[in-house]
Amino acid sequence: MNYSFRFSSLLAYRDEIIEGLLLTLQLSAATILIGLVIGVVIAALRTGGPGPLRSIATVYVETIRNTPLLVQLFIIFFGLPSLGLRFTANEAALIGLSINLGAYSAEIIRAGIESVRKSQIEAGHALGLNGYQVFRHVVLFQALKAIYPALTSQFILLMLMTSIVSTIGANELFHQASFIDSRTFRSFEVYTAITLIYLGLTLLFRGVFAAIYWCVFVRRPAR
Amino acid sequence: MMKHLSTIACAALVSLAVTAPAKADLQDILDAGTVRIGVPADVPPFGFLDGSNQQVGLDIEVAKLIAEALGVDLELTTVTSANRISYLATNRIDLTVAAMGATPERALQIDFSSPYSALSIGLFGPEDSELSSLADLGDQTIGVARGTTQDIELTERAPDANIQRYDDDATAASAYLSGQVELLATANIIANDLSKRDPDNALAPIEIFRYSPTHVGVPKGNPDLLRWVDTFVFYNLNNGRLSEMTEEWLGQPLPERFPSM
Repeated sequence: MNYSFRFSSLLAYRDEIIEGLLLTLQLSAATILIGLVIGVVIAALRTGGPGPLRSIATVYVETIRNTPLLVQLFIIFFGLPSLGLRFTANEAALIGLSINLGAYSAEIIRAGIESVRKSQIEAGHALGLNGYQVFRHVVLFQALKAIYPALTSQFILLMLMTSIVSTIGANELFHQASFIDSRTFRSFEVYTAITLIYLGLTLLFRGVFAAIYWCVFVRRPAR
Repeated sequence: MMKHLSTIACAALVSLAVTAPAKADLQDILDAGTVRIGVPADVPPFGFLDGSNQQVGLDIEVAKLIAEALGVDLELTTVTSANRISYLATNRIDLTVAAMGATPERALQIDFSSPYSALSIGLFGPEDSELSSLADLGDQTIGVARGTTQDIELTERAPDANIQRYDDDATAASAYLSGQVELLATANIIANDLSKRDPDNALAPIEIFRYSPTHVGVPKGNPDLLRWVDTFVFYNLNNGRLSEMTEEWLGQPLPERFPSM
């Protein structure tokens, strides 16, 4: 081991690293919000939607979950311009990741919905609530609480997967790391630094998710 | 008697092989009536196989021109970038015309002629682009393969440009072809290849960053041959022939002030 570590050579690139970190954070946060909404809607359709919509939701989930994310991103970024739909790298990244997360979270949320006892749904109907009201007031909250750990793991996985969008040129954290590596040839230092940043991000996300859990499900008693 | 003769013949052959240095200086090539030239078969557009499995390319054309100028037959040998120097150093061929760049390390093994052609790297865009240099770039986006010479040159020349970096030349080219970037920084042979495959979106050079010359390789210890090849290159650079051939195969002519050794 004669390698001499020179982390100081990264200092000149701290603006690039911060820029990448911010984009990774923004991309992850926006994707989680959009993906959660897609997931809830699709899961609701798959468990209680009308026939045709249920089929469409199933096709969506199966298509996305059975094809690589990289291929989905390339279709959006390199393929759609042929049809006249052009997105920047960041837009394509947000769209691709949201569609992907939507499908995965839909399946997790569906598991939660199906864990709610039939008797509670029947009780809701007996009280005169319609299908939407039962879903909104009886099912959803319990479903999300039941699958909260699985769902947030998926969100953290999503945050780590944002590194893939560097291939279409989005300047997120990993893209910036590759850029710095191509300039300094300090691969070990660059990727070690990036590893630590990702680790920090994961811990941050875990903390935020734990805080949300406490605020939403613990402090406020389940209705 | 026959047996004796064949023994003597064998002995003579063996001693020839052992003692005669297999040097192929200019006079030997003229005496043999054949020049053995190593060319690439997997480096388009310098040397590659066409649809009917014939060797074609800039280097093959240059080799033909050399044989013609020497007035001898041409014997082509396929070499790779890994074995071309050992082919020369062991005198299995007389010359290489194999898209080879000169480096001090290589020059310890073989000699290099003056450059006969050159790759170039630069900024390319649509043929109808109004840009004529990086100076009036504005906010146009440029695609480039990360960490390549063209990336480094581009970043140095236009630090504030809107540069999109991709993993390799193929991805950068896809980004250009799908309209995700408006300009492409790459090697001229790649730009030329893209233009050939898709003539509607042909690429034209906007600014050439630098040239990477290619040289004829000559085995060490052949001063006459080296001198002759230099003269050959000088003559055909001067009359524009090598520039024409470079334009035909690589897409751009040679620069007016082309370096010499």
